[in-house]
Amino acid sequence: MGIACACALYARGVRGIVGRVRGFPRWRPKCFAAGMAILFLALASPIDSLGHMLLWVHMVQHWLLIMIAAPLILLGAPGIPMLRGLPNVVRRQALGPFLASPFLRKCLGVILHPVSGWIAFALVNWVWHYPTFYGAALESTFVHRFEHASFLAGAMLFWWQIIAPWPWHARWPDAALVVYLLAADVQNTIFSAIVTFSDSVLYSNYLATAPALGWTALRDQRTAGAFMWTAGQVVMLPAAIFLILRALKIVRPNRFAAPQRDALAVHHQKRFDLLQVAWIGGFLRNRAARESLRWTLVAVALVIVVDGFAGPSDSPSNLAGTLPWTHWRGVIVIALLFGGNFLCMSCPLMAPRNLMRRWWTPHFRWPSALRSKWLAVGLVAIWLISYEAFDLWSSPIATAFIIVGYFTAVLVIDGLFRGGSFCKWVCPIGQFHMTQSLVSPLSVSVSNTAVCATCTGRECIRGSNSGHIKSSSVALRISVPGCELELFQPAKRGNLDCTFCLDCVDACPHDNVGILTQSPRIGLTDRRWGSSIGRIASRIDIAALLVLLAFGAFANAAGMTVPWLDFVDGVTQSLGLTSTVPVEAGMTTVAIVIVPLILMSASALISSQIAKRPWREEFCRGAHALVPIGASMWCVHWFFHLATSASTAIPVMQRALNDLGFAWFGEPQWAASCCGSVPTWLIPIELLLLQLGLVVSGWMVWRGNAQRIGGRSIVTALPWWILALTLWLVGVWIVFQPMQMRGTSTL
Amino acid sequence: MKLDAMMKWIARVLAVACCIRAHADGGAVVDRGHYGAFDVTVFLSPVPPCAGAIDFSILVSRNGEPQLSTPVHVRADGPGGAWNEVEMHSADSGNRLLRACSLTLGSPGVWRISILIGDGVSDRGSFDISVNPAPPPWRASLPWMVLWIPAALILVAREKLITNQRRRRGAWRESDQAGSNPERFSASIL
Repeated sequence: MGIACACALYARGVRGIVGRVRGFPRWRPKCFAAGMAILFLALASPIDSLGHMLLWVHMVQHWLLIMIAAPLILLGAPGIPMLRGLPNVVRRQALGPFLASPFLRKCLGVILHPVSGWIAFALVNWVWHYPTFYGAALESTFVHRFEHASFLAGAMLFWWQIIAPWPWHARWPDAALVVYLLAADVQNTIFSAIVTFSDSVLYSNYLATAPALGWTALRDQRTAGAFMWTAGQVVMLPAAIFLILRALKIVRPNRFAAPQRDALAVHHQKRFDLLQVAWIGGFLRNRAARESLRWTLVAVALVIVVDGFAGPSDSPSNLAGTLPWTHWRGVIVIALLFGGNFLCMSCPLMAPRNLMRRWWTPHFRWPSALRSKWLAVGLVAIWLISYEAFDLWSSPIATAFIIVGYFTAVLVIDGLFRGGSFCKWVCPIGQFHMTQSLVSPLSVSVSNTAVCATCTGRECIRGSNSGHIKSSSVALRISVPGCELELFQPAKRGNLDCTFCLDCVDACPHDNVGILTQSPRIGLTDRRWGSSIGRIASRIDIAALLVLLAFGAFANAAGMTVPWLDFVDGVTQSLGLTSTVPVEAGMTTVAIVIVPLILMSASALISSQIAKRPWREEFCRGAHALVPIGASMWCVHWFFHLATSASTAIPVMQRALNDLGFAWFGEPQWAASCCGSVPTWLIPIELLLLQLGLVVSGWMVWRGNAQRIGGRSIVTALPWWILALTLWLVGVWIVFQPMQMRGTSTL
Repeated sequence: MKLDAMMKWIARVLAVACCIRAHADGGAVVDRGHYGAFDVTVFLSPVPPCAGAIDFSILVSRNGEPQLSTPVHVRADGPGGAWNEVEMHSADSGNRLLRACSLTLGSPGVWRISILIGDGVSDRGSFDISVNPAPPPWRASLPWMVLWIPAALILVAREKLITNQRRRRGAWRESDQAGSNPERFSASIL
């Protein structure tokens, strides 16, 4: 995997410089590819397996690493290509400050000094071949990998001085490098001689394994020593001869001029715009295509509703019991994590609503008293509590009723009120998508703010009677509404309240709106006024919604753990109740309302006292900073369901088709609807996601504080860091708990 | 060579290398000896063994020649009469000279491991291993749980570097306005 990533980075970065930039002729990529192939051969071929049984094979492996792979990779001059291969944001935002640091450059200068390279090479050689360390490497996979990594690193530092990979120059003259190389050869010779002429077996691990393959351990050891002796010289001596010839100017010095800045400039400095990508961009720009996507999902919803009402009542056997709760939610988190709010874009509720508005124009404006997120907060809380209390996931009929209720609600509300009232003020699922997409990498935003500065029409919010829609070849001119959620593009901050409907893209006469990459910092810490949102530090209703969903993520996931369920049963029995509904509802309320209220208020109080800022501002900023850790928990939870229960869709669809008289796909394979075992790769991925959420949350807190209060930012951030760390520990605890496998049968 | 051709070449090399890919079976040698007519070396992973799934690998040879066609079984007899027996196949081993299997040793304590070669009557041998209690599940995932610490430290370092660079840039602007030489702040190619 690492080799593949390195090759991909190199191949991406080498475009535009190979053969065009002086110092980077065409043989360099070939050398790099050969080096990588040798590396793969050494680490992932039978050589590695046999190295555990025969010392000489292990020495062949080390020789390939340090004498062949390392110099070939350096001849490929991987430094500049791999930096160019990195995404712009990583190179500039993440690596840039380190590369520009004078201190780190000094450190790099010391590390890349010939003396350091020689010492590293010799040290690695002697330390790892000391019998104690060598034995430890043979018995532990981790130590063995570390051994190989250090061999490769030491060899790279050593060969760096001789090869001086472009654009670096050799720091010592060729004559000095000859001495450098021969000194390394001498230490290799001494070591090889010790191994070759020893009368006792130095590496006891091979006492057991070598005879099994027809070798004596001593013969194996002597062969290994002789190989190291001769094979080392086969590489080092020609290198020394080449250096001597170069010093005598018999061969042309391989020195290249420093690269010209223009030649190396990365020309794709513009932000990535999904709408400019072939096929996908064309599809998304096409208004009819987006509408057809929604109608497709209407058809799927209709099938689910019919099956929910008419199909079996057992949840794992019903489309309504599996597709919305297992598969759709898994798709949601993947789309939010790697893209943006594409779920609202493809929302099936919008298709009949848009159809209705062709003939029916609503007359009322959404009431001023309800123009906040408090209604949505209440609905989201009710949704989370009823999901746990009434086990909505286990009832296909309830699921069907919810879907029908949703369609009815959107038609009634958007039939009465103008704009996107349902999406903006009511829809609990939409609130989830819009808030969690604050951490998404893509956002609908303007490409060039200068264009907006000169725009007088403001079609992105007002709409356009002569808007333009670019289809594949012709530009149609039709009436296009502006943003129905009242987001004015030039002042839009982050993804909050954006449904990715792309009406603004259609309406903009300058073609200046796209789906562009954007840092989550914009939506979570930006202090500027945002269109339709205001300042994030003053919207307590939005903060409440964010807190509810952040803590809701942990409560929702904890609700399926066995300890939680046992506790619920215990409390229900001790209270003498016949149903777990009141206890479930009470516990969920405590977890998503009472506990967050106490913890958030306390953290806000402490940080407001330290920062001498209003409590409300600290509360709002803290709520925004907790979005990443909450989003990571949602991802962990729903991705778990998708990864362990993805196959449950197969028998359910077979059953549904059989019920309709289509027996093409055979009898339902119900074994597939039973919960599979948890894959070994899943827990590391879950832990990585949780850590990503923790780190980004911590970073958001600090960045937000550093912008506002400067010097005391760390102390002020402390309560929020403790809160995020506590949530992370809860998340880790949840990951390791036995789970109730919802949406699966117990065959 | 064009870039596309180079990529194809890399892909071919990797494809060929993948075909000969094999995992190191690793682990420690726990027993070696003559089991009847065969020389047997037994590897075990993890070391020390803990209750749960244990990987056994075995090299069976005769006169230095690996014997790959002879059937081999491994049987584990544990405390309280618990036992488990599995046939070992070279297909389960990354190193095709070995045979491997995963055997579940459910409880801690001393387990007697018996290797049965062929019909298991004359060519057999056994040894004892001490199995430790299973570690809590989070311990195996510990390396995955501490990555946030270096990530946080890198972020902190990055923020500090940016702050310092901005401060220096501010100082440079002031000195530049005062007429000093800005050449020393020449931009890096990176």
